[in-house]
Amino acid sequence: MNAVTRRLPATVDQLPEAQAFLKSWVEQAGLDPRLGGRLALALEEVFVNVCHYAYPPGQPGEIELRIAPSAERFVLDVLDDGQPFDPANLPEPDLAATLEQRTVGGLGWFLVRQMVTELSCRREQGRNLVSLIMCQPTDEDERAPDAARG
Amino acid sequence: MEIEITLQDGIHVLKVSGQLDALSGADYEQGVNRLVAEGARRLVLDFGPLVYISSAGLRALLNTSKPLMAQGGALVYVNLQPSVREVFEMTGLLSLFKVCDSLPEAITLVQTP
Repeated sequence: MNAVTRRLPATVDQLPEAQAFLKSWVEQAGLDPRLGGRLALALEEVFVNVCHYAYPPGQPGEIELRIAPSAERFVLDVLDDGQPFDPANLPEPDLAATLEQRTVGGLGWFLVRQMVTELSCRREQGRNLVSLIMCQPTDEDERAPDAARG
Repeated sequence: MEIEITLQDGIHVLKVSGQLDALSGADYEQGVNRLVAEGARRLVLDFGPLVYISSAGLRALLNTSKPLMAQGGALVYVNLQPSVREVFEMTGLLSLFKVCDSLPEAITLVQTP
């Protein structure tokens, strides 16, 4: 199936719109709802990150969602025109820290990497492109958690 | 996200439903912290009807658990749905927080020093 796109203002209050758009295509593609839920979580993390960091304060931009719906390999691209960003540079959260030591940040990109089968971040024609890819596990390959690590 | 508060055996039981995300995290923090400010020290968070949690939701849990525990309070999470439990597990919160599978068990656990 061809890719479908949706453009939204890059503001957190648009998150329900973004997730509804994803959900409708998850259903149409016949993707396992459990995997659709994981993709929805990854989408929130990426979406909110763009809203908070991509554009200068007071100059809100746009987010484009591009979906190639397929039950076998569902691709959700999130594009923005903001400043270049690479999550590979972010430190990993310390998951062994005690409650007192736990910092409140750093978990978002960690969760994105855990949730999807493949994650890629690159520049495309002067824009940031985050690709979230969810593959339906086959019988032989129940699940490969390490494949999600970027 | 909605929070329904009941008092059972002197314990505040908060039933949390819907989604705990970037939009509702602040409301959750406000709701729980208001109870603590009013003097509640033992809380049971019934997540049975909670269908979704993101990092913003986890942040709200950390921002409410830490101050309560620093004041000698106790807090137990109960009835996590598989998708919420998975996020707890991945982020190490399952071993950081008290988590159990039934309300009576939670009420006993929250009173255990």
